[in-house]
Amino acid sequence: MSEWFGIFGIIIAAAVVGGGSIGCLGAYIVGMRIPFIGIAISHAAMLGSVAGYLLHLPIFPCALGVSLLSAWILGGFFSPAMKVHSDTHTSILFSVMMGLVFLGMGLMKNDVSPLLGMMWGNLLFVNIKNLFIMILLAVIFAIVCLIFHKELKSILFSPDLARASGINVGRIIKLFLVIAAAIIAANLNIVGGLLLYSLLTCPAAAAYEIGGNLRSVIILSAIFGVASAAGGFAISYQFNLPTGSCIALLSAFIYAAAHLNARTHPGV
Amino acid sequence: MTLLEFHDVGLNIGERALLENINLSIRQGEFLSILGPNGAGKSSLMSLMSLTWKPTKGLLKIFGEDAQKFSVKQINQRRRRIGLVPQQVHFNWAVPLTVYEVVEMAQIGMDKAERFPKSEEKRLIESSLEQMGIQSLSRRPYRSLSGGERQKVQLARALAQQPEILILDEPTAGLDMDWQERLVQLITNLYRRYSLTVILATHITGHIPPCCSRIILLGSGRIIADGKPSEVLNVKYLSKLYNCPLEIYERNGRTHCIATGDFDE
Repeated sequence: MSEWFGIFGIIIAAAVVGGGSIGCLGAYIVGMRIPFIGIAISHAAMLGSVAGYLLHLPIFPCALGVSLLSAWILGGFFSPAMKVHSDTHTSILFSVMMGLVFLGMGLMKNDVSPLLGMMWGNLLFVNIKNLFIMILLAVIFAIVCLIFHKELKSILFSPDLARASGINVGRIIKLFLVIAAAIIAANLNIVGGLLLYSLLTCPAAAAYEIGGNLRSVIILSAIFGVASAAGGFAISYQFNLPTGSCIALLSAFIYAAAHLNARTHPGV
Repeated sequence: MTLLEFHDVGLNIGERALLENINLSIRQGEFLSILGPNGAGKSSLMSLMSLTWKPTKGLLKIFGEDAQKFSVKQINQRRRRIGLVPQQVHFNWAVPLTVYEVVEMAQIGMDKAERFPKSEEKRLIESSLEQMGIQSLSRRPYRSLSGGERQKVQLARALAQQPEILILDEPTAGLDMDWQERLVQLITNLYRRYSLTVILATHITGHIPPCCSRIILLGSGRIIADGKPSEVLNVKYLSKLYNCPLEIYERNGRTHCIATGDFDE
């Protein structure tokens, strides 16, 4: 009985920490209008996992390393001097990562189920070590958000005005993306690389639909993230369905409800 | 004291020259207007002055230092000494910032060591809002404001930076006549009250306030004339600048310009 509580305690804690931190991260990513970056970084983490698997290296450090590298590269493209929009660079990076992931998987001769788990996600894969890393990163992320709250708020509102006010937009975006990459890599087990996108975007989009100010948007986004992850897991457990799919669909349902609410109760 | 110096400055984007052979120096306390038609290069010149872009030719000195050699940190430090009101603010509609939060952005870019105490920051923001007459809007979402109110907020934000130079890039663009007049009056009052250096870009002569001490006529990326308003605001220069026949008349110390429509066949 206590073992059952131990396992489920870790899973529920992972759902709360992961859903909350990704939901909160999504509020910034959606606000900056760069949601595609989440999927590119999650695929970079998957590439790191594949590389680690092929080279017989520890998987998480490899996933973390490649996702951090991709975030650093993408951070360099957020400049007004760039001729091509950052979304285009993100798409290029995404397609390269995706190509390399499938190439790596094609080269594997052994059992690829742990990697498929990373692709589709399963909260049952989360262990106490994963949970500790997730909590640590969530705390670091919260501290960075608190320290740079006003800078991030300004960048979300208008990068041009932030620059004109003397804010080092490039440096803050790079720092933010690096932390985002670490959180995405650490949470890959929950929903998987393919569906993590939904947890990054849907709770945040729902929060923007109904939030009155940025603070409430961030808090609501974290709450919706927790509700999606924990609720999705509960549904998947109850009806024996894939966890990642349930989380993605529940987060989309929350967004649809928030959108309908905003349509029926319009305000400024 | 000279704040900005342009020595044979040019700005190219690819093969296209946006600015050519710009020679100009702007002294502290000047009210300089840059007048030119659409596409003359006014916004490009403003972008160089506000350190948004770097010149591709020549030497640009800002506060006596070569702008080409600035590091990112130095650029951000110098930008804080320049209050920029852009022609149009591209803001994220989804992010519900209040007017107070937008004006507060002026204080955020400061280095931690340079920052004022919180109470002083608050006083500065409130004072800027008061100068613009928009204290009552401070809790309103920025996105709910009219175009004229937004421009006032941008002026308040630039002012809260306590700038040495105030750069106004067509601040009256897109506003109705009433708001245009109100903004011209506000800019005049600001210039008179503070010892600011003001640089105003416009394509409408009537928007140049009587306190303006110098006008540059900019056409096709080049300086056509540089002098006192009485020296450059005449039919000869203006018809050449706008490439159309026109008449001018004076009212309340301002020069207004009307295209007559008498084009040569």
